[in-house]
Amino acid sequence: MKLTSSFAPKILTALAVMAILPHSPAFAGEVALEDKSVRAVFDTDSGALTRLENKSTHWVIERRPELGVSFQLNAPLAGHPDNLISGRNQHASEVQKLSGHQLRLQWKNLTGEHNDVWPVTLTALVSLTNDALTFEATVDNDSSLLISSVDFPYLGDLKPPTPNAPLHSKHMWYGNLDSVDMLQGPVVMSRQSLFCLVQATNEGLYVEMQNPNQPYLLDFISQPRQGSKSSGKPEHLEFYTRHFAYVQPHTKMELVPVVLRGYAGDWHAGVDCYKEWRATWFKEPHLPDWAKEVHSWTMLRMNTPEQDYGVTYTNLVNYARGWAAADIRAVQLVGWNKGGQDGDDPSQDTEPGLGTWQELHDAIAQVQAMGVKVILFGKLNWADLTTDWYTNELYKYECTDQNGKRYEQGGYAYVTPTQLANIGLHHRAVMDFLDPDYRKLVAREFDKVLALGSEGWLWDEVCHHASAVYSWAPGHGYTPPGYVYGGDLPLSAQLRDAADKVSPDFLFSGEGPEDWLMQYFPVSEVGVSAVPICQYIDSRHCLILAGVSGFDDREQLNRILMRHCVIQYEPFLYKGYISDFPLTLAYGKKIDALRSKYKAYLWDGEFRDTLGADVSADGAFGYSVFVTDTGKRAVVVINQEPDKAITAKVRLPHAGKLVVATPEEPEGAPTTGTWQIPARSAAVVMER
Amino acid sequence: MPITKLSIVLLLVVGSVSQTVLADEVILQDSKVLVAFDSDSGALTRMEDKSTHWVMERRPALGLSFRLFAPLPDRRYNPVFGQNQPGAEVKKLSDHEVQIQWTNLVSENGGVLSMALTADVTLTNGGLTFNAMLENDSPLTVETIDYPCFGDFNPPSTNTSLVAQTLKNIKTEELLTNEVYPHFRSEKGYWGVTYPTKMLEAQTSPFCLLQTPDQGLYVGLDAPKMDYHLQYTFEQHPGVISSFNNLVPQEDVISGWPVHLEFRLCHFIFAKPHSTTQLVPVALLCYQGDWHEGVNLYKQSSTSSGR
Repeated sequence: MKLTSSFAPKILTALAVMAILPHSPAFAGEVALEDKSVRAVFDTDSGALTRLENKSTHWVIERRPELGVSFQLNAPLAGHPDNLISGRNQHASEVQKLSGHQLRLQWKNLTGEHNDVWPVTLTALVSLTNDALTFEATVDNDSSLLISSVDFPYLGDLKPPTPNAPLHSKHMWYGNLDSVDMLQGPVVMSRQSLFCLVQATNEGLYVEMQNPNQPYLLDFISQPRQGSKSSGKPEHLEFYTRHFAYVQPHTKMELVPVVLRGYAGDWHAGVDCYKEWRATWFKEPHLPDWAKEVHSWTMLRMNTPEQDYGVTYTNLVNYARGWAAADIRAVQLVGWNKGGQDGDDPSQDTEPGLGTWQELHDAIAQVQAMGVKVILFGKLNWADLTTDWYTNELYKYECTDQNGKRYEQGGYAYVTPTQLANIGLHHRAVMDFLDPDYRKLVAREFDKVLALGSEGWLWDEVCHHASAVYSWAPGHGYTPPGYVYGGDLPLSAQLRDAADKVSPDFLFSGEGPEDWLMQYFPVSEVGVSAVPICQYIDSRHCLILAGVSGFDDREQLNRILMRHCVIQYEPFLYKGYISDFPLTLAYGKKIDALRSKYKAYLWDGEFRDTLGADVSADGAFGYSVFVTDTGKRAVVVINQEPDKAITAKVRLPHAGKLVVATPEEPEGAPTTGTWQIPARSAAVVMER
Repeated sequence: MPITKLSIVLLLVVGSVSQTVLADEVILQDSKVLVAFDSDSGALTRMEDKSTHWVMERRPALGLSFRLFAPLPDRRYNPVFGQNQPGAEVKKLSDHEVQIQWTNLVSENGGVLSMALTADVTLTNGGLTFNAMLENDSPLTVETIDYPCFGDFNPPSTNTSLVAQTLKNIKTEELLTNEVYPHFRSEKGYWGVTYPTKMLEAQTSPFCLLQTPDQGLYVGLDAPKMDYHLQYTFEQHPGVISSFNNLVPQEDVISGWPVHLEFRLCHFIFAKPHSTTQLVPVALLCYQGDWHEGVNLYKQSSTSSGR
């Protein structure tokens, strides 16, 4: 209920008058939380964070008190989607230091932009523990408004350690650590990454959403502000986390804690903060024994929505003989299901144009009897709009926006000039994983995958829901809006349970699952990313698949060796036989033979990216460091020159005896750490 | 369609036969250009800029004629490949004109279709023009036709780079450059194609320049207006050396597969059943110099056509 109605108590109006008085340039007082590493200062009148310093490095992260901000929230009104309630218009009703490391802040009866007062209370608890600041907050919404978002904590004046030095926002996405100049105003979304690094040249600020279960969307927002004479504010950069909490009228909600922690070093040090927290909640997924050994995959497409029926079920064994002969351990089978790849989703029925269910079932058994695990590709996120099934039933489970319009994914182009020109694609509705009825339907489809007897499946596009983030669809078992990504973990758990009843070894793999989903999808198909973030976080319990499609693709294979990926052979862009590119296959087998010989280093060892070794060369190169369980180190160096040998020098601190081995000469020979690598080649230096 | 080395070997065998038959190849030439067609299949088997000795279409066995797609009511994938037709009627009407006709087209999944494609190729002062007409007397819609087609488009030498240049925006006349050789980066999602592929839009660019550092081939759409969508399509067979650097193999063959670049003009005609469609004429003209010379040809063509 809006209190400025005729029923509003007069006292609130009086409070509002007080609240909108311009702030005095002189601050009433300060209260600080401080330990040996951090000093955080809050204004006792406004509750704003006015100063933040990493004392270890002397980086004053938040500098000018007059630019400090306490919070901001948005409570849309009819016809006014942006009804901002700024902390700048509030006096804190309480700023109380509870202990040497804890502070309580409270704002009551919040005043809007038009002096309207709302019975909303925001209570925050800021704790300083082990050099980390944790910001917890509760919204007590006794108003008639829906509070869509809360911005808290809020750095009103984020500064780099030295004037004009660059700051980059970094976050995980699709197996990579994306990086954007903060002056470009990047927004990092928690649906992709549970943390955001504010990275300066030699240090950074780690910002974490301290809840791995995707309760709602949290944005990490960088917002450059122009200077303004009218407001008297100089140019500055704001950084804050926006909680899309959608607090319903007359309800109370605890926001997810947000953690700030300074670190010294580059992104590795920032990600180490994440690894530390991740270890407290990440449940290690089960990998079947075969996936723990050095091995490779291949990939084959059987059909597309253009009905090319390229590989029939009975023809599968002809491909499999080549895979078995090449000692390939798994095949990702694409387009086996009704409608082909990206057609007829989410159906997991077999495709009559390719043969019968029995033929596929028997073919899978035959292929697996040859020692090749079949991994069935599937998608459950979408409903193909061209099908009768969508028209008659699936529409009930789709996500819709505030106006009741469905969200769509645009489909993908296949084979014919018509589709390749994006004409006649199969558009898809985005399905609501929060809807228990849809989850039941998905379970039935997944049972069809399990019934075919394969050793695993790969959920393509498991990492996103296209443009749908919140759904307003009614009748889906929750009060809208619902956070669509919130259904990912429950659905994954449900499918895992179903698979476990068949076999705990049934392998779950996916296309670029977010880190929390890797608890269920330990195999991620993302290729060789620019920053090997997943391997750096955990190379022992998760596998990264990387495709190889060139006809003499030493470059990609060398990168796969360096980055601790699993080879996925894709001849003719995964439409061919394994024997179609013998040069690539032969070199890949040498790479895997080398990894088998030195498995303790190159497969089972901890992947350290570039940490722990100093490598130089007289040409283009790349390298990675691996550490065995016993602490022995290996450095993989690859020559990225197309046609010239390079001389590489590897320096390992306090190194023991070193040997060097290559895919072509795997036996290993003593080395001083300086040696020549031919063009398009790789070598590994190891402590023995 | 699955790819088998067998099918490619067969193609080369057929090509060898064609090469033998090329004793009967039909040639149009003047002092500037030579173009040859297989008298049996109608495929374009050779093309050379005689003034610079740039052999653009080199290996007759890899020559192509046309390709079209005519979806069936219950199956969309129903291509018609020119190389799979039993034969073409190839007539040299004069020293500067050849007519090629394919009738009763054999489709891959829909049997023989009552269709006729008639092409008329003329050579005038070094300039080639490809006119074509589709008579579709079948109950199917023909969505696209690729014509003309090069099955083995080459740069002047293995050490010479080749780019495709098109207008990015016809109003701003900004030129878009796509490297074709020695690097070929696929512009289409790898999931949807078998070979690295580029499809450049003719909607914004009535011409495409196949440009080397000092000479080029002007490919122009010789019509004052286009009634349908067109694309310039490039396919690098069998693929690249490495997906990391997209280098094209310099050899003629890699791992038993012929290395060749297909270049086609794709007409999105959507020709209805029992209809006749005249394709937009395609003009080819060799020139020396950089893109300025190629664009000059477009300017001259625009002036003469009133475009």
